[in-house]
Amino acid sequence: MITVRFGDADAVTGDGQKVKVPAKLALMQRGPVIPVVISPDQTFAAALQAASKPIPQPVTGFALVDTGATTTCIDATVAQKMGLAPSGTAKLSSVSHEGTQCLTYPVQLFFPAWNVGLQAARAMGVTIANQGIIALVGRDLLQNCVLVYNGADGSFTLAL
Amino acid sequence: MAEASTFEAQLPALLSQHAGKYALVHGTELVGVFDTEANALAAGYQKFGPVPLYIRQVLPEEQKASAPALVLGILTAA
Repeated sequence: MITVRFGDADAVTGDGQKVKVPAKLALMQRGPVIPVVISPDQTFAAALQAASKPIPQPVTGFALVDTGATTTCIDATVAQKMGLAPSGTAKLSSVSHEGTQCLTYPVQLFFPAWNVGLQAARAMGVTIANQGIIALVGRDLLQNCVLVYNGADGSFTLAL
Repeated sequence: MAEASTFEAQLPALLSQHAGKYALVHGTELVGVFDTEANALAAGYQKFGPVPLYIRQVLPEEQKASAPALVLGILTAA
């Protein structure tokens, strides 16, 4: 189980004054994020090894727990830099868009706070690094978890 | 994408015998149908090495994923 509580953070206003940002506001702004390490799927890594090719180094960053996402996503740039091979495509649907085609990648998301790695067989490649995150933890992984979002306390708890 | 066209062309036949399973396509070849996506991945890497693959579940329509934050433009689909 991981419980993350945002501490009261320092911030600087437009006129240069230092102010404390309440934990609840910090959580609202940042969202429920947890450290994550993205690695190639074990099967892909074994195939690389068998072909005497180097195994990509894991990439560390933050993942946003996104209950709105059906499927786990990773940043497409990270996937490309790691040299991951897509395993197919998937469409993102919405009210306003019929479907945006994305490449999917088999990856492992390792959560150091849990010391647990979860396989995401079809992580969609999307552009999210500009948000300060490298992954969205979607409902395909959350279906095995308990998530408690305590906005009033500025904390959330995620348990397997 | 050649693989998508190959899959779509074979979909009626696949649905009659392998609905719900996972098809592995490479180029214009339907390599096989597997019970799980993991098995399809393993078979693909064993046959072709660590290369891009095309695996799709045999369903009448492609399942769509939803990520509202992406859709609203807060985040961006690649």
